[in-house]
Amino acid sequence: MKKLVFLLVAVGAMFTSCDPMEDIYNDLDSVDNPIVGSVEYTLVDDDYDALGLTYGTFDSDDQAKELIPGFLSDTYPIWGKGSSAFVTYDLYKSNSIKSTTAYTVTEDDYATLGFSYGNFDSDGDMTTLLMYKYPDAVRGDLVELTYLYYASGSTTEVTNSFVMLDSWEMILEFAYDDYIAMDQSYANFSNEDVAEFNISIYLKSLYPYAMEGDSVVTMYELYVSGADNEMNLVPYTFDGTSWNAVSSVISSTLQFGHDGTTWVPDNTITYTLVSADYTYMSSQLSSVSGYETPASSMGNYGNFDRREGNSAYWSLEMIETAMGILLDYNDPTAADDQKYLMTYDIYNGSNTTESMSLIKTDGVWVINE
Amino acid sequence: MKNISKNLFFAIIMVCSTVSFAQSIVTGTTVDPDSNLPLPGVNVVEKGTKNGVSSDFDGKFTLQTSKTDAVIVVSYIGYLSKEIPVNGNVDLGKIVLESSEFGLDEVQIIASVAVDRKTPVAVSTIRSEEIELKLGTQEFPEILKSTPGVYATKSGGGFGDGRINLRGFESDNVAVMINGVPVNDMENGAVYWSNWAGLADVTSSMQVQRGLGASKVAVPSIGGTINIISKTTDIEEGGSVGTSIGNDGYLKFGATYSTGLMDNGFAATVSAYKTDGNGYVDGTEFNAVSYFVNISKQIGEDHKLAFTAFGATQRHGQRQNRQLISTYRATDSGKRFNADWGYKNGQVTHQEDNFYHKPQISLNHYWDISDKTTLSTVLYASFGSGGGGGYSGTNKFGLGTDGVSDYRTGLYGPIDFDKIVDENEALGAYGSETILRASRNDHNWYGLLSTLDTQITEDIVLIGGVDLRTYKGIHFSEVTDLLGGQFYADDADVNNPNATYKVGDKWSYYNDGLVNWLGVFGQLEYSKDDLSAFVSLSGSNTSYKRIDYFNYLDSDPDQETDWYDFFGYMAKGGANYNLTDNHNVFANIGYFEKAAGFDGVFIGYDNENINPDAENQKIFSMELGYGYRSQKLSANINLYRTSWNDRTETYTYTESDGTNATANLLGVNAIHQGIEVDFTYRPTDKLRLTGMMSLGDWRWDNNLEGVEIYNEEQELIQTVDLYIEDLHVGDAAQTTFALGANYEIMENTNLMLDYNFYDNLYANFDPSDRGTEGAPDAWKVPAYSLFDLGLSHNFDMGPFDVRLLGRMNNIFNVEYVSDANDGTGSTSSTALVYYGAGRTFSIGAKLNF
Repeated sequence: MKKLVFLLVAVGAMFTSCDPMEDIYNDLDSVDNPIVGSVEYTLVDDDYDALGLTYGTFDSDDQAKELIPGFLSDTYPIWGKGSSAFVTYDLYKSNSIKSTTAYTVTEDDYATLGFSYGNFDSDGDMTTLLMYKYPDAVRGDLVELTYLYYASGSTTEVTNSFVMLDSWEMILEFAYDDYIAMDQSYANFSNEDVAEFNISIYLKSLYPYAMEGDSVVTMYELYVSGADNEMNLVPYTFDGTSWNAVSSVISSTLQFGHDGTTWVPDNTITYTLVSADYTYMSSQLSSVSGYETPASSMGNYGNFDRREGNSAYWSLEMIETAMGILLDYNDPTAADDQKYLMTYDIYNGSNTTESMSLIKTDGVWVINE
Repeated sequence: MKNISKNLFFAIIMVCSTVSFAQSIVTGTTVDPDSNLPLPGVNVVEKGTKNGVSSDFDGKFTLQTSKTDAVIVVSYIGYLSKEIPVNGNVDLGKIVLESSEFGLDEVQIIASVAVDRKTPVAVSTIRSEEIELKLGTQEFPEILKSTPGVYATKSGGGFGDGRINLRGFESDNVAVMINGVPVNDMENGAVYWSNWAGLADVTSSMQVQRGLGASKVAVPSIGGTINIISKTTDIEEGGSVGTSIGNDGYLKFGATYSTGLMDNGFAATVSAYKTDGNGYVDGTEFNAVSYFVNISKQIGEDHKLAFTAFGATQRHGQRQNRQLISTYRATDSGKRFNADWGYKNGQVTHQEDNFYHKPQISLNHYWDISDKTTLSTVLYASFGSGGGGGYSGTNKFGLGTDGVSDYRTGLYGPIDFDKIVDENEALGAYGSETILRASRNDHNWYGLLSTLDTQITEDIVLIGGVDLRTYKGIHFSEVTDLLGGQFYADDADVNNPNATYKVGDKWSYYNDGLVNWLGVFGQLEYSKDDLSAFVSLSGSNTSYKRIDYFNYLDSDPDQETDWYDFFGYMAKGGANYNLTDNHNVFANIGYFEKAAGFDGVFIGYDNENINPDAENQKIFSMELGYGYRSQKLSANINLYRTSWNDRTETYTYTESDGTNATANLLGVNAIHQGIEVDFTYRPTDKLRLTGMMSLGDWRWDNNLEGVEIYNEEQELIQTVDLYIEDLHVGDAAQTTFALGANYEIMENTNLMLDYNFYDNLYANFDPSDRGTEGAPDAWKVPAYSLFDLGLSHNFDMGPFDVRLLGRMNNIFNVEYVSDANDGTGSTSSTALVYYGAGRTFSIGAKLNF
């Protein structure tokens, strides 16, 4: 009887261990193992058509963020969590004037905004007022502002036009003499191309000491045959040599990441450490208490020792610290909310890699859970 | 059918007997000299005729001679043939066969081979016959896999990379002796089986003595002793030619020839085998040549000299880096996957490999001083050269993320050495940034082992002797391949700063480890009637010295350290009592202290941080055994308990003056206890069943909490906690079963089926790393079962006695993890593992003449 029981136990044990790895493999298979891809893509005409954007541009970044995920899902249906896409698209930034308002700054306005002399005296003051007065202003709103301005010892009343583009900009308007100086017979242009070109030349004479990056928003009158003349806005930037009209169609890039369900806007930069990175982290940490042995091991082997309990062991917290030091060195100007996916060599008895996602929060790099 | 043929047989005999008058009937029983048990299957032939029979299951035979005056030849493989003249009907009674090997008895004394029903230790013995049947393409230690307490695997799967744990102890706690000569590494106690590739072909017997063992000399027999007796010299002239082929390009061939004992007293045996193959695991190609020479001479009546030299020179690709299960699963190769190889210029190139050659040379002298006293002396030397290959410099060998790497061809593909070569070439006068190197571990080892054996009274034997060894380990790194670059620059040698190195140069480190060993031993054996008992005492002094040619200037006295001495000893005793002819019981008990290894004394590879007070490891072991012997069934049951205390555990810290110092942590203890059962059952003379069950309970014993470490100024440096209490010891299956059947399906043809089961295998971990309270047991590897199949067929072909042998291991191609290192959280998803081999096969033929 005892023999029989033993036999049964033995036979039972035999069968349960016929495929010893079955449970582990089932577990492995139950975990999604997505295909991870990375692409840089520039939308082409057909893509805008497919998205129903007949002008071949997006009206805003928000619209791009809303529509591009669907496009990515359709284009890369087999890619899953962790995939990334850099999508370049055309954004239409309208420079047309949507509304025009005239306003004269009141004494109350000055008082409310703390201009105790009852006037403005610097360039930013008008923006302050406009933001106060028109908090809901949208792109294309134009205000003809009349205000008191103190300069060179006297206060004068001036009227200037301001337009809301990406922010409030003072408009450079042209008088009759200006148009004449720009080779026109009347106080207007009759051709847009000529206007853009001539203004760019004229700006050089207006601002002979312009620096690279300077910008100015111009407005000119366009003669329209058989209808009212139009006022056209053209922003210019100075590239160090010449003034260039800023196109209203801007090439823009957004990064998207796949979160397992869908594509979402994501600024993560994926980065694989190179040997100089280990050398740098090792040198920065070799004399920091608690890091001496791990940092020296890193300097020797160019990896993180991940054997728990070992004297050179790097815990996740320690790696986070090291990555922060490295990112501050490699990308010191990164803005808050910038994310990095760092892939680094480790040794855990075998040479392999691990990855850590970090985000800059309040100027400090922390693990992005 | 059986009855018909039997009747027919008798009818023919009857017919024959009617024509032949001058005949007689000879009967007898053939007996094995070691066990004194009947020996079945022995050939009994009337000389000069083809008239012969085999002894039956009980060793009995009845031969009808054709002449009244005849000579009977009794022969059996591995034993000396006996010729017995007979006249008329006669009962020859017990015919005890003698071993055909010259000097085998004497070597067995030196080697402390245990004798059944006499030596009170748990043993399993495997003879050459069975080794031949079982080996196939397996690793040498795997032959023992059906033995209680044994866990043997191929490790990474490279040729010679096999390993064996006994009762849960690793190789440095398992004594291995070849012909009585201890072969555990003198510095760290490890056993490298790749040093002994090919030894299986020249092994006469392999005995596993579990627990304390029967060894008289001080050896690290914590788990047990593996006692390998090589072949000596055949007294009879003859030899064999053999070859076998197997899976993955396995090819082995070789020959053995013995002159037999010549008139001038000389006898010689030479044997050589060549083995090549690609290996079951990817990138584990290997080549090996093994050789064996034995020359013996009888000098007068009382002296016998035997010179033995054997060795194997081998080179093999290794699977060094373990991988996650998910990694194997993601690869095309699956369980054969190996990351450590690639192609260079179209040739397979190994990132990790191993090459070694260690000739073991001994001169044995046996002297019968008197009827009662013998002196057996072995003078031996061995010269190891070789090491393990790997890379240095920039690591370009990672698998990358999800198997995508610039330096690999395809997903999880082989290494693209050509790209590395291109990059090194482009570096020009900057030298290589990535090279291949070998960590060489050469040594020269000389020893003398002398045993005096004298009978004090009829019942008492005194054995005593000395065990002297001197050893020099030579450690250095050698540049083996610049991988296209002009040189490799390194600054490690203080005597040669800003050095540039080429292939063959020593670089990075170069030091010697010197070990001297002085041991004495004595043993009293009492044997009378059914009782035998022994007490044994041995002591050894181990001296260590270290010389470092790279870290210290030639002018610096620190280049060479002083000698540091460590004393170890062993005391043990035991008794066996044969209750009846069937039943015996035995018990043994012992205590020994084992000196710390070289690395426990010279910590951190320098000559300043020395630990002169390294603590001895302490082992206390006791065992009870019961044996049953009958014609059909023999069985053993053993109970054991071994406590291993003060495992070498050191803690390094920095003194206030900036120097490193070391503290010894005591109290890392383990208890290994268990029960072992094994049996052999022969229900008929055609069938032999074997079985084994081994249930171990091997655990770390206790936590170390708040152990305080003080520096020289008695200031508290650190408080150490280790939480290991009740954790299972890893790296060896604690539960094993085996069942085997060997059935003679037709005459001279045997079918063998073996089943092995392994459970309670925990991933390997270092108890020193267990500093977190409440951490779980190491990951438990899934239990697995393996079936092996063998078929042998013997036949005569002209002057040859031919044996054909086919083997298939793991016939169901079971996928299983054989070796695992524990990972974070102790789960299957973090463990780094080796898979065991899938289905493998070999077919061989051996022609004996």
